[in-house]
Amino acid sequence: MNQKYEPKILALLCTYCTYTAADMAGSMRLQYPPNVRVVKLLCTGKVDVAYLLGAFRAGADAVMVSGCEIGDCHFLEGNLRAKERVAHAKTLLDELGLDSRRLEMFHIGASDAPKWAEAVEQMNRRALELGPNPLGRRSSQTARPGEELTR
Amino acid sequence: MIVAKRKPFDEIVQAAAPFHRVLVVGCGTCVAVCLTGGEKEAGILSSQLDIAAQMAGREQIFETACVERQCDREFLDELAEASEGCDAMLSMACGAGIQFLAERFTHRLPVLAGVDTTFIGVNSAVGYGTRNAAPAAAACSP
Repeated sequence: MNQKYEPKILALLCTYCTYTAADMAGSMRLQYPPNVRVVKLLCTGKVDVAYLLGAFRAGADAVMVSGCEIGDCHFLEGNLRAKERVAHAKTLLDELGLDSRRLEMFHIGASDAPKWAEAVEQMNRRALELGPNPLGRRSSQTARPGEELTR
Repeated sequence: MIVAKRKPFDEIVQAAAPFHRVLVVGCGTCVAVCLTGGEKEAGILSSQLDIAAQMAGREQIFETACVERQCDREFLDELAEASEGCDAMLSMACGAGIQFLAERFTHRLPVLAGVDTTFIGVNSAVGYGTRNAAPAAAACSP
């Protein structure tokens, strides 16, 4: 059976900015790849390296974290912390030989719907270029506790 | 407090490769403060090792536990149950903690070291700084 590779992209979004931008993108009828699965967070400061590794263990082909523009965080520095954690997670992915370009941090304001659509396009192109996650995808039956990824 | 840094990842992978079920043991004191071997870091290393094993096609299971202090024998008893069925333990504590863990469990299973102890340090200010051995040349910038 010939299966076409469709990347599975996980997006961890701040509710105050990028999630609103993604909502607006829908209202504006902007077109972007449907491969992205959005998880709304109260702030990207909640993003943890363990979540990011867990996403790849569960089979995500790419992960994007998107928070407020620098200086605009509702909680002052949540997006700065997320930026540092994403940078750290990238070094861990490189250690593993899992290309760190599969993970990226974005800063997209609430009114920047076109920028959100472009970011998804960019991650989708990158995931297509890098190919499927070498770990494969785990079904909900085989996922370990704490790493279930909705399919 | 003791300051340590994690061993090179490839070195840890090689040491853990022969064992099927490995318990990664964090330490909640000094190495947790310097963000090298606390509960969170033990969990992250466990995830990393799991990914590395999957990518190499090895059937391995990595579990995580953390004790308050590995350099205190009374805290090690709680690992007896957690280590049941494990083939090896990987300690994320400093040299003292690893030594105590090895003394307590080596009769039953191998104890591997996951970090290198580097120096004794203090928190003198917020931020990160280094201090030269000569007091006149002391430089510690936050």
